[in-house]
Amino acid sequence: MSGTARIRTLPLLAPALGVVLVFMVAPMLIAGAYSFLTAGAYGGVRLPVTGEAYVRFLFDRDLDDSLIFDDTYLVIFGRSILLAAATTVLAVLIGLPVAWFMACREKRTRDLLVLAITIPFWTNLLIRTYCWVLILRDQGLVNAALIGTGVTSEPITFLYSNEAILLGLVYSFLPFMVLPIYATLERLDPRLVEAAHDLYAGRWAAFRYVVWPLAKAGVAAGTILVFVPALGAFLAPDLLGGGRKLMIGSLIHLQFTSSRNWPFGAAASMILMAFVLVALVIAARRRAGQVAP
Amino acid sequence: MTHPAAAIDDRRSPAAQPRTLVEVAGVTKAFGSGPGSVVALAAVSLSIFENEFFTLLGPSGCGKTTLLRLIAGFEHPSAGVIRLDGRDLTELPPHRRPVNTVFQSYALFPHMSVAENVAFGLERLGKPRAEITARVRHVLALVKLEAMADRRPAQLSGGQQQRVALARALAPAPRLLLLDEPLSALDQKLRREMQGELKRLQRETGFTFVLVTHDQEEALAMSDRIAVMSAGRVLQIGGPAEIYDRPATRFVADFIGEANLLPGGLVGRPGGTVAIRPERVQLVRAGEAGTADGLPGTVTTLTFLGSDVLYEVTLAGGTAIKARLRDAAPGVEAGSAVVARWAKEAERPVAEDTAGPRP
Repeated sequence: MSGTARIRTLPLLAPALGVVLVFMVAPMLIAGAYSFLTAGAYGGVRLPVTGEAYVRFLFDRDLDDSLIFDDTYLVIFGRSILLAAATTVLAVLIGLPVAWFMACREKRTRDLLVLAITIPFWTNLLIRTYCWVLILRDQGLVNAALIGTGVTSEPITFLYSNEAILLGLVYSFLPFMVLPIYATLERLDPRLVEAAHDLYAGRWAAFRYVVWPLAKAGVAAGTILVFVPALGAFLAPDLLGGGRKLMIGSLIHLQFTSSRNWPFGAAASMILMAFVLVALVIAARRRAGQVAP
Repeated sequence: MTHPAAAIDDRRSPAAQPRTLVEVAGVTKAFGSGPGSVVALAAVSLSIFENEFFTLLGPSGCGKTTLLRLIAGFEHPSAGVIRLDGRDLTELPPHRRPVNTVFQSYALFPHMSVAENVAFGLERLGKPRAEITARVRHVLALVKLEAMADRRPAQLSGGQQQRVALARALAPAPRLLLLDEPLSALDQKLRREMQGELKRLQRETGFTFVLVTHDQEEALAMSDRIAVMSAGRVLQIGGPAEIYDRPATRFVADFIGEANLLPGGLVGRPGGTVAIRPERVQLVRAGEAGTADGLPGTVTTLTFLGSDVLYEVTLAGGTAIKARLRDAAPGVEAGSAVVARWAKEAERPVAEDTAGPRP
């Protein structure tokens, strides 16, 4: 593209560039800048410039100002990655059959099912997560049913565990896995599956050698759409984990609210963002390598 | 159109005691249930012989593709039995039937190379690697695609994709090869070429081919035997020449080639319909010698068809008749008074078609 052409297209790109600048680049720059400042007593930030927030992520400062390695935040970070990964795996295991079921229906049923998948979005995620609290708590629906049917006499505590957080995460992000997989499966020619059966492939072989390779692109898109937001989620860990099992999202959330440590919250955000970016680049590299053997 | 009877000589003589490979016995297929159900096949029975090129011919919606899908196992019959080598196939899923299909849209696996597509069936059958490699090479040579083994289907032309689909279905050496309108996506010239190719492959491999088509010329040119279908029923089964020369019903006469369907009373056979092929009709100018035994009429249009000339004549009673002549009749043009005549044996009495099962 010549220099003049570039200048001419600039006005057309301006709105899009403006949106990206104001809503993406600027907040990231602000967060990046805040992470190198000092916490104000009532929130906010003040000078001097310091790398203290990043140091705090790995070390605790002893009374005599010496640094002691502290794995508290690393554990939170690790738990976040594990929970997000588990969420993604479960979402694939549930989402793939659901998407396949949907793709195999007639056109009208399919449209209804897509609508059904999006219905949860009509209600705020906060309210839906609270509903899980009501369902899972000791006096909740599940325990009432279990006690009522005599399965157990004492309520079983489901809430405030990693499993409860996982359930909430899978529930929240499952549609983001189902929809992209469905989009790829819907385009899959059903004759290909018939051809596989015709060529002596049973159900499993037809899935393994024909459906799965063609659905992989949708699974990859779904994995990004589920893993990334699940990693930064704070509603499910807050409400279903009871704030005891922190995830990185809730840790960041805390720094800007009750802990009033904005620089540390900003630093944790930057670390999270860097991790996601590296993971995405590696995934993209690997996929590019697969496509062009 | 070349006269199909000219090609009859090299076909297998019907006396050569054929062995039945597929037996379709009283097969009915209804889609849906209750009053809204559609009967696609109504108690169809037929036999397909070993090593023959058998064609299911009929207009779209006649049930020919449904019958093919029933044989492949993609549909389950509502009633009746399909046997292969005497064995009941009815409860066998498609992947257990020694039957392969060439799909209308080819249905090639887009994420696999040509060689991988062709190897697919052999791999599922668990053949040893060396055997698969050899077989894939052999089959690709058979369809003249050795050079394309590493290409993806998307990198091939329509005709080449067609050959891959054929190679893929031939590779496992099925007892029966089903072809669902395999040439319908190709242009006219390629189609002619592939017709010859298919016929050659069938002869070279000795496999039994079952072709589904709505193209009667294609059916006449390629088949050993043809089953003409309409509205879920088989109207007539026979060799191409038999079907063409002795159509059993009005529909068959009309669908295969062109036919003049005249009320029997007009030619001294009251009560029925008589079919006469246009190429059997001769035209003579009225008033010339030997016009006593013909039917008088007036030429309405005259169409030049290249090798032939087609005359449309309105007979004295108002009935229209077509005559297809090799050479233009001297002095006959639109508006000419003519006499149409034909040999008595050109008249084929045909049965009326009973109403189909569709509402």
